[in-house]
Amino acid sequence: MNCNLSDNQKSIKIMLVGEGGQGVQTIAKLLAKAAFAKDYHTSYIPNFGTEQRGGISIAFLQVACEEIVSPKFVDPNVFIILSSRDINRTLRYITKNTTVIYDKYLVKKEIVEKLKKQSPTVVGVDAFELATEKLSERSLNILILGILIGFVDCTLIEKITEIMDKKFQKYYDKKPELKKLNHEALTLGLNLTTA
Amino acid sequence: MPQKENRQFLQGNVVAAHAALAAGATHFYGYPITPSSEILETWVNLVGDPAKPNKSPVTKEPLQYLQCEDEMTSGFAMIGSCLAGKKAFTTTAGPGNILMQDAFSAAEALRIPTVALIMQRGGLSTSTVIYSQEEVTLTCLGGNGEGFRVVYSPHNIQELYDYTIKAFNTAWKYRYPTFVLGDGYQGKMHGEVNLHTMDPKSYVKPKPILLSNKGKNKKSVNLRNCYDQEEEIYEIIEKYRKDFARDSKKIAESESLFLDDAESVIISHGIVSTAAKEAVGRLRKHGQKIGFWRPITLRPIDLPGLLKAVKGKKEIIYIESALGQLSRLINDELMSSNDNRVRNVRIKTMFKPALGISPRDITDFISKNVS
Repeated sequence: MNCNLSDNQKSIKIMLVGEGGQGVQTIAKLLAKAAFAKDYHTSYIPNFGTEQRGGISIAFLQVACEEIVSPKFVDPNVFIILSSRDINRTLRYITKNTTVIYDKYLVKKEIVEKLKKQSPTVVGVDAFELATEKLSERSLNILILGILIGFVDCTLIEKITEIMDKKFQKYYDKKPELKKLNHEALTLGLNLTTA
Repeated sequence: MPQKENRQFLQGNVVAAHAALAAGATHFYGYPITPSSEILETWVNLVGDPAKPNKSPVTKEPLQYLQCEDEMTSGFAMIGSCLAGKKAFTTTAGPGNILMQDAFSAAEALRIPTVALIMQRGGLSTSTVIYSQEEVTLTCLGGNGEGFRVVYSPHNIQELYDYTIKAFNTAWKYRYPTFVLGDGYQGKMHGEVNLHTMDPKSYVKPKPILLSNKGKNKKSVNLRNCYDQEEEIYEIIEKYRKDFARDSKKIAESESLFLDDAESVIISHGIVSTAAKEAVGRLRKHGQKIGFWRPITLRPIDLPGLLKAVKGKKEIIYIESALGQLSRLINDELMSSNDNRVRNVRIKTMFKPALGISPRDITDFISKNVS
């Protein structure tokens, strides 16, 4: 197996925190499937309530070079947050070693202050603004997926594009411009991490 | 560990449905409830067009399903199908598990083989659709029965597949209602699995229970579920008790690690065991003499395995996503021992009802509470 995780890590634990409808589970699943297809050991647990939209939605994702024994964790390497909702429930997962990525538009300032108390590495990104200005609001989750790829393994982008295109083909058939938007969102996100 | 070339990355519920197919199940009855619904959905896809259904890879019979109006109907429809000689199963969770206990009690009373795949969600009552280990007592001892049931508690997606196949063979071999007790994480998560075919030697062929093949002519069999005298039912229960004690020796399973030099032993089950295993590995790297034991069958408990794990140890530490539902089962077994080296073992508990438990939660707890 060609283990090529960023920063020579043996495993990476990612927690995605958003709200129903933002596509948090979709991107976690896409990344997990792509990583598995590239021979990484992978596990993904979705965590959400009964709401179709608006409730808190969390994904626990692990990508590793070795077998994953336990799928649940409380010490993510990367914590991506796209919503201010219910923050007290997820703050406990952030450790001093966690890199926290938050969206500057979607996450309130007082929440950012709370995040900074948990970890010294808290980074704001203009994902929502970039998505709405350059692409479309619905591209936000794919842009975030691009950011995530940078934290896991940049070479996953081809496999993710392949799996994503297959998954969204029925939408592309109705709106062909979506395919280009998704590809641009992915690259835009990846460029944010690697910049 | 599955062979790499056969590995697939699938959702637990999808895996469970494929296991039922591989086990030779042909009929499914159920009512959807999160976090188990994808088992029903996957089975419906496996059946295909109901007018021209796909066939079982094991028996070549057509596959069938019925989405019933509720869980009580699902449970009894499954029983009817099993009485007719079909390998039928159901799946449910939480409040649905409560409603199905009526049917499960009937299956227990009449020794009807059935299989139910339970994906535990949060208690109490409706609660969350996410996760817990709070349906242990209900699944092992629910209804107005005595717990003459088999309950497997798989700890990862591969075991969910393997023990679902096994559940069908155990149910039909010994004639007990049999359960695979998963949870919302196992059902909804995606993980690695090898969807192997069943060993044909392990397959137990079902036959119509209400028909006897004895003699020249087939005769109908009356399964009695109503008794006039207390002595009558006492005799039946006594017979079942002896049968269950005898069969338990063949059914009960457990797994242990590092018991030889362990002073303390973590006891957990299901997905919490994966966190416990990882935590024990980490703690031992730091010189802690800690071992691990988990029941794979919650009913019956592997008593010889348990006694070996506990005897002479300084302490046992129960770790559960419930308020002691596993520990009550185990303590009950330990108290039946006359050996003071078992009865005098100190007990510590880490109970987090309805909350997921990670390896770090466990290492933190052990560091603070175990010397």
